[in-house]
Amino acid sequence: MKRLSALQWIGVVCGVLVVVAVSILIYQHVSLLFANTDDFDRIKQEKAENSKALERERETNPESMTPSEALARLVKIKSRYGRASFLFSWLAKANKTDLIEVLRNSEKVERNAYRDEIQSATIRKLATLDPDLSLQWISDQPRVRRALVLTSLFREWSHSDLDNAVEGAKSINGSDRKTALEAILSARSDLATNDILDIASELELEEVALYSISSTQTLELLEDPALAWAFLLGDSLDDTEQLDLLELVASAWEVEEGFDVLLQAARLFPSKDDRSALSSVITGAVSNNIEDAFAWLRNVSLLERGELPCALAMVAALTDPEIAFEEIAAWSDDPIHVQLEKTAANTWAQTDPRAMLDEIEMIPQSARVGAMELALTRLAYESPTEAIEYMEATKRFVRSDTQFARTIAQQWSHTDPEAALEWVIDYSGEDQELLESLRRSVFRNLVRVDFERALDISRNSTWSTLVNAQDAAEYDVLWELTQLGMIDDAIAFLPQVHEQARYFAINDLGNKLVRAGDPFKAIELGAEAPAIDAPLVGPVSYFDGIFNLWATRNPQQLFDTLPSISSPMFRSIAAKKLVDLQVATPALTEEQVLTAQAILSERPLKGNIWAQELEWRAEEGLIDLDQIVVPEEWLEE
Amino acid sequence: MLAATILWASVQIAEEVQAQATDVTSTNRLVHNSADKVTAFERSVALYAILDRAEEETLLELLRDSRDIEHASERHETQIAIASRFAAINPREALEAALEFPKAERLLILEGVFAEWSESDLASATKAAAHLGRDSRLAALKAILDIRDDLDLNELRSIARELGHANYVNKQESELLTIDLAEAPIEVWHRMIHDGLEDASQLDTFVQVAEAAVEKDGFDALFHLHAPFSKVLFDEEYLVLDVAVEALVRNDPQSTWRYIQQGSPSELELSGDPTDLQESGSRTKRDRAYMTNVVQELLLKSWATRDPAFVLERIEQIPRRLQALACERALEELIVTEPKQAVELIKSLKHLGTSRERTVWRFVRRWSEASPSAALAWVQSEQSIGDEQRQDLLTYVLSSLALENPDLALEVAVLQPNSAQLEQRLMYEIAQKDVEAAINMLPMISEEGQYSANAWVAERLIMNGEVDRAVALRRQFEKDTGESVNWFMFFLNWARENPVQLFERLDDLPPKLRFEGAHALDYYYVPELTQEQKDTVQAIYEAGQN
Repeated sequence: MKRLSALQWIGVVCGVLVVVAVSILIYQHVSLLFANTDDFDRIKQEKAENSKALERERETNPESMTPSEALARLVKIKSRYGRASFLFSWLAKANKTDLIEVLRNSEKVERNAYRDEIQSATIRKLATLDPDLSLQWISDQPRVRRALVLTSLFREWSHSDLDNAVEGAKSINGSDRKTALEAILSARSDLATNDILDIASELELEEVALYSISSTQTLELLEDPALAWAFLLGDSLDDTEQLDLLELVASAWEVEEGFDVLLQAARLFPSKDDRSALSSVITGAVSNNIEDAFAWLRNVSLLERGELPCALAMVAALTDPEIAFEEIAAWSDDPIHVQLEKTAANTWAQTDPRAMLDEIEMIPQSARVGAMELALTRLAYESPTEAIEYMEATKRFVRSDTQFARTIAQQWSHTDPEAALEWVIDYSGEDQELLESLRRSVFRNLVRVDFERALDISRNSTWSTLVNAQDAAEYDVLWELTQLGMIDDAIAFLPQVHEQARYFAINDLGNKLVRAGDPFKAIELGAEAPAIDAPLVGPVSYFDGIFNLWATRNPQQLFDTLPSISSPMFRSIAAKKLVDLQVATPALTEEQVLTAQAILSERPLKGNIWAQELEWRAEEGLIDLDQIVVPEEWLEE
Repeated sequence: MLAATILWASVQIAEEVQAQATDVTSTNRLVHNSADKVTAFERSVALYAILDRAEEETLLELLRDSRDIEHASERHETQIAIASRFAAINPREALEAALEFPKAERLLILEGVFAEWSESDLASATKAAAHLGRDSRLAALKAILDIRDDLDLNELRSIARELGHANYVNKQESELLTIDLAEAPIEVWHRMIHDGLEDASQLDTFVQVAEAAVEKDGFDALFHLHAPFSKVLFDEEYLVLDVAVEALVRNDPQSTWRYIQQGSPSELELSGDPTDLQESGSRTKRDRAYMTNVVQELLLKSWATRDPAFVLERIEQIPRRLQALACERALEELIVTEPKQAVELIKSLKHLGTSRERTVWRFVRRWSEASPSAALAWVQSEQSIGDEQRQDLLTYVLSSLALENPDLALEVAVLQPNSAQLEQRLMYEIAQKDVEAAINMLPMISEEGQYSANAWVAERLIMNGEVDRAVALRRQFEKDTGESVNWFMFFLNWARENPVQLFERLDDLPPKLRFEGAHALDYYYVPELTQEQKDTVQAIYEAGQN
């Protein structure tokens, strides 16, 4: 080939460039003709503005990124669609190692929503390569965070390999298995009813399949709501398990036949306890027309309406509290009027406490205290300081705010007892009576963080919150220790507590020691049980309870122990428990029963437990029985 | 060269045309064929590849076509993706398009629209959502709450309120709590118990948290889940715990039964003597033994409810100390489904222990609820029951029978030695259920039982808000019998039920009743009344005393 000179080369290149430029112009022009030509400018502008972000994502080629780069890029994309598009594009080329790395690193993604999106899509891809590995990864996650990824896995898995997906579901349990089955059934809507039931039966979750079948059938029958309703009532599922379906049908039915359908719902849920369920079922039918629903209900007889008025008040309070109270005001001549006010106010207080307290004047006086209590209970859980502010702002609407302060203190003490106590002290100021009242709401929860302080407070408290006895508040503190499983610590503190409290603590601990399989320690503890007068209890009551429990749980052991019980009276009590037990449960041999009866006859028990208690005190020289008038009926038993 | 270049350009144009045509074709293929040749994941990849290139017109078309996708889950995913893409380009148009769809699909499409829109322009998204119908607003809110977890709860509450679904945030808050404290399920459990929301509305979450606690710490965790309920007196307050334990037993029958038989695995690792105080961790062996016993009893009760026959058949397999409890609970359950068998068993079982009386009591109480007539026949004829216990049991049986067959219940009651007491109890039960029926039965009550029966009915009328009828009923009683009514007690019930109403009605009452009404309002703690109202009450009361 003839070689070209430099000048010739320049000419050729320029020529080619011109041709290329012309070609591109022609291409662009023609290409645009294929686009929507109706409003080119508008499209161009909107595309330029709205697609800018998406275009930017495409500029970076996701396929070429490492897992870390892809993840770093993903969390910066502020578009759900953009993230999904990028993610699927990247995942399409990712191998198993990449996927595992993404899953591992995704744990560091700060936002739950983003992490969920990433993990769900990644699990789907991994499920196409190695579903067992996916399941294994999910099983290593905290249980409460598995539902979404399990759904992704089982939808994918059941699509590609149903049999193995069901096997996989069998390997997990509880809510996880239920989630898996629901995912399988939603992904495989092509399955026949029998197949659905077989799979559910294999997973021992028949009720999930029945719900799924009912749901499908209901949707198919929805054009004839009366038929759909009858179907739901006739299926084998509990009506309370399908409130959402009943609501759907009631809503469709109302469109056709008006509010009369509500009477069907009222018949289905007739009792007071059903109000919440009934309100769920009628929500769709009435929520867009609360006023008309109330007007219609006014003309329904008392017998027919059942719990509808209260259920409607609940829906109204959820939908629009202002309208709810306006409508309820028109019912002032109906006996249910105040009940409706309270229902609406309480519903509002529980669902949106801030709004209710902001609009406290809207709440009728008869319903105010109850609603405020509910609202502050919820608020004190969410934010005690906010609850206090609200209490201060609304207390002029009631005569006394002490019960609200108590509620806030108690709620706060569940999460931060020390802070709650500080507030109680500050709030009470010089008012010792108020301080005592509020501290009673706090000190039991203080046990977990500052036992000594809790004990100290209980010493300055009069009444126990657990037993109806004065000067027994220290018992509450020891009882709290046992709720933490610290029986021996509670025993160790017994010498530090006052007599009245000590009896109740010993009585409780003795019972727990028997349940712990250590009745001998319970006997040892009984020696420390004081005798108190109000109520009349002491060692006799204590051993009566202990031996009773012991005889039920291990009669042979109690029988073997009889000779070592030094007190004749207590030995008799133990023997009597064994003899009594023998009537129902022949746990001892005849010879042993005779031995027990002999012990009992050596020291017969007279009268009821109080009479025996007094007798023991007299034997111990604590009282003079001649100076006491013992009621006749005490001596009869 | 020029020709070649033009040819190249033409080829490019043809390819572009082909590409667009291919898009539609592949879309249709995706829409109409849920091809078993590809995995669901690959279908999603292809879907997003198509959507990346699609603009409004195409998206509208795709959205319409998507309705033909057979499988629901595939259809949902496709519609949400299309809606998101649409909203990324033009959210208002996307919203308009969504509203064209029937309800079931519309809600899903809205989810896609608002998930996207709330990220790009939350204020506009919320404003637009506020104009939608109730269900659509909820769908929008769910999408916003799901995606905008960067907002604090107060912001989310404000949006929820604007969209008319303030209560939905409470649910979201519980879920967030479980996720944030995923590693501390016992703490989540305790917090949820005190969250001020109805436990019954959160049962699924409670079960999930209980499962998480057991998965983390074994069944021993149940001791801590039980702690908040250990001083609870009423069965219904155990609902949450019962449901959670029942789920755990159903999830893993083998392990739970093994725990009942053998106790905690952690305890088994230690020496068998519970009196050995050698420390193990922060708790002694005795502490652990007690905790294990609590858990064993919880599981056993649940097992007995779930499968009483199994428990009774294998009663010898469980520790002796738990057998009485097992027997009591299993029989109580069996009486509902297999009354004949249960009745036979109660005679022959050897494990009732000293709790025999309690077992019979629980057994009869449950039987009365299920079948009062059958329970009555048994209680009346059973030889092994002593007279005193029989009277106690009849109270329960007749109370239940009264709701089913009040005439028969009264007939039986009057034949008993404590007939007046029984009549009163029956009237209480009947009045609770159907006050009109109770009013009709009043003439049938013996003279001795009249006062209390009349009082129960009046109390029920007060609770129903029918205060005028209640006053009239009691006044008529005074007139008919010449017996004085304890009006203070009557008004105390009213003050407890509705003090504001009683205060407002004081002026309508005759002087004697007005005084007693004021007395009740003064006596009972009623923060509902204002200080001014309370002063008025006190003035009436003091004037009456003088």
